[in-house]
Amino acid sequence: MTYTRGKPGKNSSVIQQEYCGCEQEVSGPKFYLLIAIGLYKFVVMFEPIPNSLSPQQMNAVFSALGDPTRRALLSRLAQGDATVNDLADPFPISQPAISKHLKVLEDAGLIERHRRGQQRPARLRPETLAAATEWLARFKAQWETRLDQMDELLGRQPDLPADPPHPTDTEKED
Amino acid sequence: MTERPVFTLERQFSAPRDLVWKTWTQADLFARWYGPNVDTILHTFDIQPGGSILLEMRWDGGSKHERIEITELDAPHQIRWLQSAVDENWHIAPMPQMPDWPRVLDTRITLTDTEDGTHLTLTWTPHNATQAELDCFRMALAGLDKGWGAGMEVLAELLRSLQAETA
Repeated sequence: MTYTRGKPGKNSSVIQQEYCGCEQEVSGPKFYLLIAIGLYKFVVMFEPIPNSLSPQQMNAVFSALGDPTRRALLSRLAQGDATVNDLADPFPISQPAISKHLKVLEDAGLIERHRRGQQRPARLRPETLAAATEWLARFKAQWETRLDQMDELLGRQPDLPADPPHPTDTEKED
Repeated sequence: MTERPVFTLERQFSAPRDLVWKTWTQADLFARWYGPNVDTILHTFDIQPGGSILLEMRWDGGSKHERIEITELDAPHQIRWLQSAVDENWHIAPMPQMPDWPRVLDTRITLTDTEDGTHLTLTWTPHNATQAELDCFRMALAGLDKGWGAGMEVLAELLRSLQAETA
């Protein structure tokens, strides 16, 4: 995507279109999914020290998401990393203002920023932890299955010295 | 220093402890439950401190190798071992799908007597892990703990509040 710089009057519906691939305000299922991902990441970031978010942390997320520009920024970042320049171009607001918004998002844990040369592109990156969680869930499920099988095996061992004989188990087979 | 992340799984068995112990320490019994719905082939089974278990789980069209090194054994109470995913030559190998997943997990199996059987506690924590591995495991734990279910509750709350804002 190429944006022309210095066109503050750029049609806002075009901006919306470019930002979220739809023509309405950044909303609907995609936006909620985005919030879910971001919030999930946020929740995870503060683990395992406190077991739940403090009201302050929750407030930080709520207020970060309360602003339409910041929601649009998140939508844009869902499509890939972007520098402040990239992010500022389509907006009718100044670069420092974008930087401020990014800071709010960063403080709330909804994005992260890393250094690349002179730049610090912003990144929304939920996939690593989503994958990690999935992996551990699978690991857990695997062990649950093993323990089920162990349980079954334990119940099936007739030659166990400590296994109490079942009075109903009369041997009529063989 | 932050604490090492530990994943815990617990289970109650209505069988005496000696017997549960046997399912971990006798090759024939171990092989019968270890593969989660797949066959387990034990290449080496040497249960003693310093000993190891080399095993292969095999299913239609695939197999997975695991190397287990016993570090502590306190019969019939506790086993501790280092468990690694390995290639077919038993060399530790990262999971291609999850490169930051801890390569070696310090595993502890503890059995305690209860009124009607045996309580089993399993714990895993990354061993000699890189920061990336620790982070990966910690995030996974936190995510699993909270679960998407809990995440969804928080989300629902958030949505209500956003709707109230725009109403």
